[in-house]
Amino acid sequence: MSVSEFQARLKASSANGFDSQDFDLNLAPIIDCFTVLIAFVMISTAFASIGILDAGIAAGGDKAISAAIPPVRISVEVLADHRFNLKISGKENREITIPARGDSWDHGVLKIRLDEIKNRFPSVNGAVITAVNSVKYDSVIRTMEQIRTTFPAVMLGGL
Amino acid sequence: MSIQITSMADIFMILLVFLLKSYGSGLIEISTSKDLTMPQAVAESGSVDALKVEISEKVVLLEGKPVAEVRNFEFDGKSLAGAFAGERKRQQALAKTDSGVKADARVIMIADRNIPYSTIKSVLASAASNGYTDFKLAVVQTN
Repeated sequence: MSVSEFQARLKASSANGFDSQDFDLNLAPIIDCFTVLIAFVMISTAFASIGILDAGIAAGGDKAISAAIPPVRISVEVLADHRFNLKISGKENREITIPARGDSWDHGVLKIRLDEIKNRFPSVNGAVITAVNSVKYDSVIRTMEQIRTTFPAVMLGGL
Repeated sequence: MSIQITSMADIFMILLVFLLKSYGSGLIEISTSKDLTMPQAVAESGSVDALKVEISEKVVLLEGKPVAEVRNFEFDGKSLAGAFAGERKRQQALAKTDSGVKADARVIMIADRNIPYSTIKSVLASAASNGYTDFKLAVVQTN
């Protein structure tokens, strides 16, 4: 093709408006890709996030811990009849029974009692949780969650 | 007449960014059985990689493999103890050959919320007797 022919074709295409900067981008294939991607990601995304509650076992582990001995040991027992049995041993020895609140455990009163102990013995950071065999795992976890707000190191006892 | 799909592409882009962001946020990779409902609690999320024990109403799984059948919330303790012991031996053998690897005492326990504490206790006791004493209880975060 000669130069004159090329110029003639260019003129013709300009006359038809092909060299115009005003054009529409074809978004249809992009939308298709997005639809497929969104569907895939929505299927494979886990919207419920998993958390971890740390729980060692009381008197567990193959190495001795060289931590200071706490003035009191606190043990919370979850009973089947929706009661809590709170045991304090060491410098102070006593047992507190927290009665049921209707058909459930009274976590509010448990929190108050634990806070009282924490105020009296601020150096205590741990507590042991035990439960009778018939208590459901969910109830143990809920109690553990409550204890952790006052004593962060909650250990499982009675194993 | 052509449909204006530019705004639709914008919406899709925002949706895609949001979904991709939440896609990678799960630091703990746990896939549970369909019939297992985990308890809910306020808990910290952190990157934990440990031996996974799953207790549902029908079976106890160790690293996704069934090791004991659960009937009326009771199971064969010997088979579970054997599985824990096998896993512990494997970890210790690995630790001997590679100085960078340590036999880990951590266990992530994924259990159904309706399981009685007696079943949980039996599994944990079995794990503890084989050197797994650091328990991590998996829950659905409410915070």
